[in-house]
Amino acid sequence: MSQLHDIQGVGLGLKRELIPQIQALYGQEIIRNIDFLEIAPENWIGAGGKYKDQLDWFLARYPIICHGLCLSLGGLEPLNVAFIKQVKAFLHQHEIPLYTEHLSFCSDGGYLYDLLPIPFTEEAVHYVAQRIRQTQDILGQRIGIENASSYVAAPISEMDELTFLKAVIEEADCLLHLDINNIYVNSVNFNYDAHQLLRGIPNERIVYAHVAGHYQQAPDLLVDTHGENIIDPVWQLLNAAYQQFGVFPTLLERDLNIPPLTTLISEIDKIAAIQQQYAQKNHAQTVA
Amino acid sequence: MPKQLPDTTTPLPAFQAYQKQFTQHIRDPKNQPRPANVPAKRMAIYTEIVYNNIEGTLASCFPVTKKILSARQWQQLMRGFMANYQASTPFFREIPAQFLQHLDSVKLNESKLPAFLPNLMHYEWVELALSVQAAPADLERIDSATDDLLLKPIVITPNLFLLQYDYPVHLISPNYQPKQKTAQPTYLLVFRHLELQIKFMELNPITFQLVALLQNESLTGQHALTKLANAHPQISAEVMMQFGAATLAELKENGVILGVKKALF
Repeated sequence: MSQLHDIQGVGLGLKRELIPQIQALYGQEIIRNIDFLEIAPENWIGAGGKYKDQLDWFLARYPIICHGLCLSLGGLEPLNVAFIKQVKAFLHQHEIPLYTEHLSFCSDGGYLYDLLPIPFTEEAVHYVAQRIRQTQDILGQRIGIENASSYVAAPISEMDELTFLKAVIEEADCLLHLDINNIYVNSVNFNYDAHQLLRGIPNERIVYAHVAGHYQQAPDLLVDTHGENIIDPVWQLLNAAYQQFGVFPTLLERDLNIPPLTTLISEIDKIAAIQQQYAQKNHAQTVA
Repeated sequence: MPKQLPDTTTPLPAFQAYQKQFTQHIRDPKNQPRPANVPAKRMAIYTEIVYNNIEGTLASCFPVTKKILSARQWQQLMRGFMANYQASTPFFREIPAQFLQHLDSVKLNESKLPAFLPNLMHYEWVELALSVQAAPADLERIDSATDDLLLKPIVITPNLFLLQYDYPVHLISPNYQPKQKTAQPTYLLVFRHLELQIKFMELNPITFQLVALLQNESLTGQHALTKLANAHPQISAEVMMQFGAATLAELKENGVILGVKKALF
């Protein structure tokens, strides 16, 4: 059985393509730095056949987190309570300690299956915070919300992203699933200083983080594809985050153009190395 | 001045009115304007990623359909689904089933789509449905000591679809697109083998009825074949038994029949 404190070190998003590779290399030195995994509950709830066998294999070997896609916290229709109850049953059945979701919406009465940006308004803060609370009440546990990437700044927004994020977290009393790459993507798309935003993050709320690569469509437009290697400015941002807040569990997302695991592992190893570096630094500071 | 009727629908708060316009445009970019002051180039990212995601999911479930239709027809189908259907499931694997529901309301004639399309797409969907279906085969109930299919109650796999179509959907390809329904329906059995592969068999009408009987109630082979013989007086009971025994053995061989039920005491 895993608990929240079992989520440590470095994680990897469990994509179908990676499943046989992790199974083949399990227990070997080369993938020693994979400490935990993340799955989308929408892909696994109620799945039978070979998918159920695969899920059981991983649950027996790794701590697993559920990172959702279709809760639609900013959606226009009432929350899908039946779905939240299915998530709850799934978390309990498999003893999965954490469920996180995006601070975005993916439905307008019908599902659209992509992460769409919520306008940053006062009314939206209350609306979303209330829905997070409702979700937490049903689940009987806190959820983490992820700062989402976006390509359109709503002209009706009344505040900046950080103010919106902090207001929602505070009012909902939830955890923060910090996405380092999304901070960088949005900083380019909306022309702000990523490091400055990072400094304002409520670090006591961080439960774990994401890093990923993205696609540069234009110099001022990055698309959050999770389909490329992580670029240097994002590594720098991760370094800065560990320096400011201490080390937290961090997961690599790779959803497109997935290289062989034996290649992808170098990014996992790099996260582990940076974590070690800051863990030692912080320890040295504590001792001194 | 005429008295104004009360507005029965509460107007949406500003942020939701904006969200609604945002999604309406994504659903139908040609006919629904994007929200005011949103740059076209940025908005296009959303219309593309949402379309590509849904299209990709449906294309991987319906590869034959996509191959048969012109690119324009396929795109119209996708766009029609997005513009007119309110998908009610958060589960990605259920998007194709939602599409099939939507297809019921598509006027095939007007869109010059082949009449066999609903049959074909349903058949394509069955493979996906079986690959994720959760029903476990209850092997504990099986008596491993005997396979007397005639005298013991038969257990068949729960992971099967017994299908009847107006068109020979399993033969349809870019080179074979029937215009008319065939005189006889096409009977197909698609099932998930214990080793998790999906297999299909074309059935004759009698075998179709036999599997349907076995699916609905727990019968011995003899009991099922007697029922069949009564329903088809034109076939002699002897021939039916002979044919039946061979068919049951074949179904067992293929993994459709798992075995026979254990006696309770």
